[in-house]
Amino acid sequence: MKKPFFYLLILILSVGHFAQAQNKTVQGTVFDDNGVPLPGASVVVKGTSTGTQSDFDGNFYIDVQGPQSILTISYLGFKPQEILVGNQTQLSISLAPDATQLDDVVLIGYQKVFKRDVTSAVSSIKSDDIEGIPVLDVSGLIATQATGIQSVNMTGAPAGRGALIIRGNTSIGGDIDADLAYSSPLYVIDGVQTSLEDLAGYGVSNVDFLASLNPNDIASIDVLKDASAAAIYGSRGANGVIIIETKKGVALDKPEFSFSTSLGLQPKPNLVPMLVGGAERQAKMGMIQRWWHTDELQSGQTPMVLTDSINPAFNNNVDYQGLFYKTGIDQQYDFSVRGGSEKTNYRVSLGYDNQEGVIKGTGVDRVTFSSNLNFKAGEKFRNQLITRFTHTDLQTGQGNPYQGSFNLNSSLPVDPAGLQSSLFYITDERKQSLSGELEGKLNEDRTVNFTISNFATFDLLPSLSLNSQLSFVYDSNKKNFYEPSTIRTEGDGFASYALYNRKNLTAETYLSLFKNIGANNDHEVTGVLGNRVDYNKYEDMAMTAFGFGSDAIQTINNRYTQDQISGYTDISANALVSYFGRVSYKYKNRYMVGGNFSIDGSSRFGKDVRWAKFPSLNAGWVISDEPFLKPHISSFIDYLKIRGSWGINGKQFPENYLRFGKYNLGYGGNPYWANQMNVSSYGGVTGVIPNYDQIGNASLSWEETEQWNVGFDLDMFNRRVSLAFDAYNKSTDKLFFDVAFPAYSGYNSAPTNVAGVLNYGWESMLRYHVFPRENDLRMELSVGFAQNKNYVSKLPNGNQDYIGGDYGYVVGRPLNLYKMFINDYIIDDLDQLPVNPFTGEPLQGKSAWASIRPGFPIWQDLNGDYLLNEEHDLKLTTDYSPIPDITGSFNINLQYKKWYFQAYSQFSFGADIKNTVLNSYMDSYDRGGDDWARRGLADLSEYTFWQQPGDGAAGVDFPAMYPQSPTLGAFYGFRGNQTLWIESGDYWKVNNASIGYTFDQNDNFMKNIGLSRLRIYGAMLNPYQWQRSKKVVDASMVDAKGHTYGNGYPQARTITIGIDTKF
Amino acid sequence: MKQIKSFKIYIVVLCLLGSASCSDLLDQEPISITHPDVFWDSQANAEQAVAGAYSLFKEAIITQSNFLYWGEWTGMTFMNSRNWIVNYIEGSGNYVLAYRDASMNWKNFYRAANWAYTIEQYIEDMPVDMFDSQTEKDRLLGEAAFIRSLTYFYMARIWGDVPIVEQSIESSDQLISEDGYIVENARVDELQVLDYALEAANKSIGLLQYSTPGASNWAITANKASAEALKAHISLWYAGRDNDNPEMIQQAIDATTSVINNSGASLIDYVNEGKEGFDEMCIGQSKTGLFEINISADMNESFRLLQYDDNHTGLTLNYPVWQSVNTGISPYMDPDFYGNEMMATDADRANDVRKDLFFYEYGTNADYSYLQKYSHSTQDEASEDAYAQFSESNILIFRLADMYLLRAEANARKELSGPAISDLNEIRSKANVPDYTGGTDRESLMKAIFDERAIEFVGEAQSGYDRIRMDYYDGVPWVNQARNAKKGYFWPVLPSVISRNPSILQTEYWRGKL
Repeated sequence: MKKPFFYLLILILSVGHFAQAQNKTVQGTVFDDNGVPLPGASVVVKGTSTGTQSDFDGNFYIDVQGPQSILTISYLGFKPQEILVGNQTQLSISLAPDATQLDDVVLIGYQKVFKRDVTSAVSSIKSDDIEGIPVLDVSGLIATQATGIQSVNMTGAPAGRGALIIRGNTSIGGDIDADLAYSSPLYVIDGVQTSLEDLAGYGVSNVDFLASLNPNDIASIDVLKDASAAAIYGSRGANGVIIIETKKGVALDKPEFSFSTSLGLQPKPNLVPMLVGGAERQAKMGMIQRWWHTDELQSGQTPMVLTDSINPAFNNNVDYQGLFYKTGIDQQYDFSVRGGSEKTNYRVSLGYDNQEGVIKGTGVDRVTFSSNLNFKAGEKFRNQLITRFTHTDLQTGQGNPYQGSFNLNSSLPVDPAGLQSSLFYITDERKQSLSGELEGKLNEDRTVNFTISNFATFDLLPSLSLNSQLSFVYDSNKKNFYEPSTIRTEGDGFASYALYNRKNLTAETYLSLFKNIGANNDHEVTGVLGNRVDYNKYEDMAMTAFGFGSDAIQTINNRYTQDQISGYTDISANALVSYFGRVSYKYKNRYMVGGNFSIDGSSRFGKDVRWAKFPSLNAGWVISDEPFLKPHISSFIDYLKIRGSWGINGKQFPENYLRFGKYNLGYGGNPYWANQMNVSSYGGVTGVIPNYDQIGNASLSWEETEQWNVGFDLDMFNRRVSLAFDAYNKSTDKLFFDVAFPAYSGYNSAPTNVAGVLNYGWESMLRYHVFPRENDLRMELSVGFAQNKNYVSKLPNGNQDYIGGDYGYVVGRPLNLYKMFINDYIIDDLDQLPVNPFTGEPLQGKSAWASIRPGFPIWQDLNGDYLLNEEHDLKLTTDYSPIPDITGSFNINLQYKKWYFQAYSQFSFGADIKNTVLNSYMDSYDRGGDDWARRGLADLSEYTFWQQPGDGAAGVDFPAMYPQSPTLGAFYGFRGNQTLWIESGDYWKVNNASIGYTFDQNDNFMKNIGLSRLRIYGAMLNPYQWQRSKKVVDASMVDAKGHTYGNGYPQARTITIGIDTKF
Repeated sequence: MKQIKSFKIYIVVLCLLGSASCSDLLDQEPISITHPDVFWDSQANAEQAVAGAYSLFKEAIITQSNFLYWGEWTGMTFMNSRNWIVNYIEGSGNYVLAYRDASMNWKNFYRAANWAYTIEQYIEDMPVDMFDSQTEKDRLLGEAAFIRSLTYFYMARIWGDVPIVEQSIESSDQLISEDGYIVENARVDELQVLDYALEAANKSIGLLQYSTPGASNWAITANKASAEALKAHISLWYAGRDNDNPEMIQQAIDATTSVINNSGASLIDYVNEGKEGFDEMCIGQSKTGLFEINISADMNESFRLLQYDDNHTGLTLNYPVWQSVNTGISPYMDPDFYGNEMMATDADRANDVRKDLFFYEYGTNADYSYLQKYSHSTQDEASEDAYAQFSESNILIFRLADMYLLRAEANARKELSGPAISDLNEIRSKANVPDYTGGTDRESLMKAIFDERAIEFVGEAQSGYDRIRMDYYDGVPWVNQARNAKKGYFWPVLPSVISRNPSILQTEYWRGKL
């Protein structure tokens, strides 16, 4: 940047030479501090009435009288600047922010507008808000900064996947994958659109989508929540849109370098304590002695693992938790440089992250590179070239399969809630393999993301530009795997190689208009009109080989015979074409109306239903600026706008070829296990049959979301209090649902556009500056609060209840209801059982179960037949829902001179979650057999169990837990599908807390060390979590069905110190 | 301004180009999947579709060893299972098996039948020049019709009345009405189902040729004799269900006679051929096979013998196939069971060689004796464990001995004791059982034929159906008049099949019992 004061100096010195002034034209561009051009900035020649506004791209032309003229550049939300023209004809002006939320520039898709002019529901996050937080991936932070977003934690693994849901989940289906059943938004990064459904390999590798983006490169995040905001993305906007802009090049007189680094420590997490070795044996023997009868004890049926304490196979004390967990170290390095002239400028950044996880053998190594080159050719042509490259090397431990999708619940090789007893002997190789440290075992999971995008603008007229964005994105995920013969039961070696990749080409061409008309520029018209073509191609391949021989060779080569090698390749493609337009009109900066329209076509649908139209309308009124009102309220209300919008958005399904009835090749009709034999023929001829999971349907089409939104933005008390409020009603229709087909068809089920989900609610964000902004001590508190009601509104077959394996849907109830027995009481005395008046028989369990004894859980006999069984008493429970009612955030930003402190937190209330972890520990005790003896035992001393008559009435936590004796049958009293396991999902979680000090150029020593800025900070991620339930491991980690991910990867606390420098 | 104009032209051209190519772009033809529009273009593809239909039938009957649940355990002849699931049947005739819902679900049969129907439709429309010859086209059509007929016949024997699907279901529009409701399809009377199966069998007979033992696909795919054997079975079942319908009895006699004379198959002489003959028969494609389901490791169409109760090897075999004696799943030869009692009390059976051929240590120790028909195996070369064995025993559906005994039964139904006894003796002679000397009345003959079938086809899932067809329930304690009057010998329909297609009515006996 050509520093204004420097020129001022020169100009003052040379002022005399230019005494004879001449008229001349000055051209200039106005940027914010991140190099983002500011449209509509006011440029006035001081002391005159000559003035203009910068155009859509921040450019302006103004005639001045001569070098002595001074330009005043002002822009809402930024500090005004005065510039002496001097002999310059080209000016590049960077405005420093003087921000309140209202004055932020918001990206709404193909256009930027002021927050004050926005008439739809948009939340914005600036880079400042998130820059000091040493995360690998910002997705976990978005919900702390914006309202109406539910942030789902699925794993604590570095770069691990999460989910963001804007205004309620609409993901419904007959056989959902609880790790993926979220209605994810569309991501738009520097104009490149990606919906998660489009990502090949997503769900295969566990890497979160936003982990491909270095948080230090992010300039802003805008979340478009309502239909009108998202409407320009028509067919992809139904779940909301998250627009991310990266930092850009900027004109500077010398390059500015930034370097930051941090070092973090993840202490070993606190886990459910396990009883190991002698303690385990003692506890289990204690249970036997307490519960078994003498004859049972003497029957010789006591499991050998417990009694044979001198057998080396059974007298071990393997501490599996010690085997898996460790302290992790995180390192981050980030380097960037920006600079250049007003004509040509750049920003290049390079980042390296290394995070070790708290589970052995897990972690991530990430390299990010991004570059941004801007140039101007002539007066009217501007070009921006964006390149981004990310390489992620994920160390997955044992949870990652050799190919195919990642089970989030198996970060560990064994389910920690179903660990083997510590007493068993295991070989060193097995131990090493379990902890991912076995030499000779290969387990690589690498992801490459490459994006190149060129954005060109040509000004056809001062107010009309033609824009073109061409993008190419390449995503690739690769897995190399070898399992040596030492740990395989068949004694062979197993090698696998898998590759998933996606190429995406996008071309967008659009006209953008920005025009002020009339006296005082009272009328402002903006518009966009364009088209967009998006093409994806996917190529997958995988190879596997089993064979005997040397473990030294870990790849697939001629060590294997031809029939030991198998594999597949797959190629598919899809295309989306969209024509879109938007017009907005603003009068006197007080009245705003606008509309969007798009027509989209998709290759995924049949010819007749391929195209759909997505309209939207919006309007706003700045009441506070009304002359009749302003004098009366201006003392306490700075700004009040009310706004409303309506629109329809769409979404398409991820499968590329559902419209075709597909045949499956290589079907041999073998329902049994055949080890490595691939039965694919009958009588030596490869079998071909229809795919019974997918019937052809050329009439499948778009899912649709119709949404209303009303809201207001209010600034009060000299902008120290700001409040944004939105209420919405979002009705999603024609959702894909697997309709179960009748058996006579042979088909299982197939998706059809039939289901509906309704979400309605409100959300608000309150920001409060506790002290005036001029104070040395500044404190900003912000509270986000959102209430969402989620209902299923339509189901196939005349709204018939849908009952799946362990979940289901009922119209009028939230998504994903539990299918469970309802616990009534724990029985103390058999007299408590109701008696069938017709037979005189008391209530009993189904004949395959043990007969009821005191200490058992008694479930509600829903059909009143005095018989408990799955057929009639295992039903959808409408009283519980895994969907939270209230989500929100609470943040503190504190500044004292150069010190700062920030703490961000989020909360969620109203979800009912299922404690799958505790269930898993206890379930083996009442299932028949001696599984209980062979599995690990957690320390359950915190919980109360039924011990004797009276305990049931006294309200113990759990039924009697005792080892099944050989003479008793199983009642399955700790089965998973009972309401016993339902817990409150309420939690409040502090995501991060950090404290830092910033040195700037005023500190003398800075000059000595050659820095212009130095920030030193300490931060803690996940420092604190409150949760209502004391029985679940982590109430914030649940899947879409509400099952806790307790046996996944814990969200470990991370303590980090770091520095941030500029020079 | 000139520059701007040229740019404007450029835009217009761009937009036009864009629009023109867009519609093409949206027609993404898949290259990784095949679908009806492109598949039916060669004999090779048609062959593969037919192979798929056989595979579907294979899966339908062997899934969780369903064929034994339906046809073997219900007969209660020799094997008393110690498996708790099978005990539901043996204990009280309860067919609502825990964790074995698939035994009440006819979906897998409809897959085989519907696919066979679809194949027939497409092959009819394929020009002859896509095939090596008209005969080859006819053969494929005939095999598809055979599978369709066989499938409906199985369903008629298991459930009685079932829906008939006479359309090729290829789009969900055929299954969901405009307003989102499932298109219902009710059960039709069992005799109509049998008529439908018979019509398909006749079609198949008309299109297929006889084959000879040793031909590459002998017995594992259908030939004309397979189709005639099927026709014989359907006709006799029909007669049994329709008061000895004389026309059907005659058809059965004609069909069995044609098979016996023309099939090229011959009986195994257990006396002279001994273990070798038995092994050949079980491994399959033997001289006596008419139709069987192929299980062969050589052809990569096998599975691993597993000591679990979800497959027929686990449910029938015992030590020394397994490493140790199994007392939880493997059945024992309960001396009180009908067949064992019959073998012990009938003096003619004293030297029946099948006792030693079919069973492991029959009579030595009833507790550990087991049926050997599914014991043939070869080592899994991908494992070094000696107990890692692939099954080599085919599932025998029809074989020549069946034809003799069906003809005997048909003649017995006509009170023609001479020919009946002659056929019966033919079978007895191969097993070292002296000629039949019992009563020549229908009842005595039927019992004699049932007994012969019981030992001859033990484990081949015939006796359960034989009991229904012959109306002979001796030794099945839970059968009674009241139950039979409500067709309690048929299997119940899975409730979820009914809830998805509410026009299905549950079999009378099973109403309220599920």
